[in-house]
Amino acid sequence: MNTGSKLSRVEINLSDKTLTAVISGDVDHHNLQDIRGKIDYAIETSSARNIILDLSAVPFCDSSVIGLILGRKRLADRLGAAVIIRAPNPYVMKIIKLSGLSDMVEQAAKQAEQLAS
Amino acid sequence: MKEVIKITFPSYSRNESFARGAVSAYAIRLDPTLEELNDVKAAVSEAVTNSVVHGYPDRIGIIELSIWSEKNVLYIRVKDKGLGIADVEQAMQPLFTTATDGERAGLGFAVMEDFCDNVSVKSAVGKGTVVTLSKKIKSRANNI
Ligand SMILES: Nc1ncnc2c1ncn2[C@@H]1O[C@H](COP(=O)(O)OP(=O)(O)O)[C@@H](O)[C@H]1O
Ligand SMILES: [Mg+2]
Repeated sequence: MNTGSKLSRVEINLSDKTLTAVISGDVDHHNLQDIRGKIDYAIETSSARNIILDLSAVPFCDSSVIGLILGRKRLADRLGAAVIIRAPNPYVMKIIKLSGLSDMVEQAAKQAEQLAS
Repeated sequence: MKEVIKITFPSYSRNESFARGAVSAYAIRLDPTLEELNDVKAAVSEAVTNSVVHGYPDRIGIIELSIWSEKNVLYIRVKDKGLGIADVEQAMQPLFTTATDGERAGLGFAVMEDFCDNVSVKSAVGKGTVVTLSKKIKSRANNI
């Protein structure tokens, strides 16, 4: 069982009108500060219409991830872009569900999550 | 005799992951499932983050983390001597937050309550806050 916590990183991929932010490592209040700045800079300097927050490589998070999602959604709304959450693991999905943001999760991931539970 | 492990650390945000690690290391003794371990880690992460962000917004203060267990119930106490909470009932309502930067969801207490069996909060303005969490761990061995 892995109990160590991993440093978070974010990788930005831009193609056409879609910006994908692949976040890896644990997401908490501390390492969010860095992730957030990098994502916002990428959003602001691109003309992306779809912003995908890829959480497939996030093993653990607390409610800070909800702040991350809502903060990016607010920025995207202002720029007329949409935010989609991709591939949260079942545990991260539990936090997303608690916050009522399940509708922002990409459908494929949602189906896989339902199969798993 | 009840064996209590007590750790004090300064309220730097980097210590949020330290607190989770300490609680995980202790919780392993109770042979939790991965989900139970994640629940406990999230709850302690919320309590410690609150002390960092809300307890000591303008300074680095001391956070005291106590961990103990009775049979298969894990107890975690997070204590700060920070600003305190004027209305605990209101603070614990889902979506309630006093943060103004738009980056906090007001879901910390909701996570603690959802992921633990019991959450008790004692707080006094100007004195600080004590959050005590407990969670019954159903040993993995019993689930197989
Ligand atoms: N240790 C603390 N010291 C002072 N105020 C606190 C503390 N913990 C929680 N609070 C208050 O309770 C509110 C709700 O906390 P929480 O549910 O974790 O949401 P959030 O942290 O997103 O604001 C906080 O906004 C804060 O006003
Ligand atoms: Mg909080």
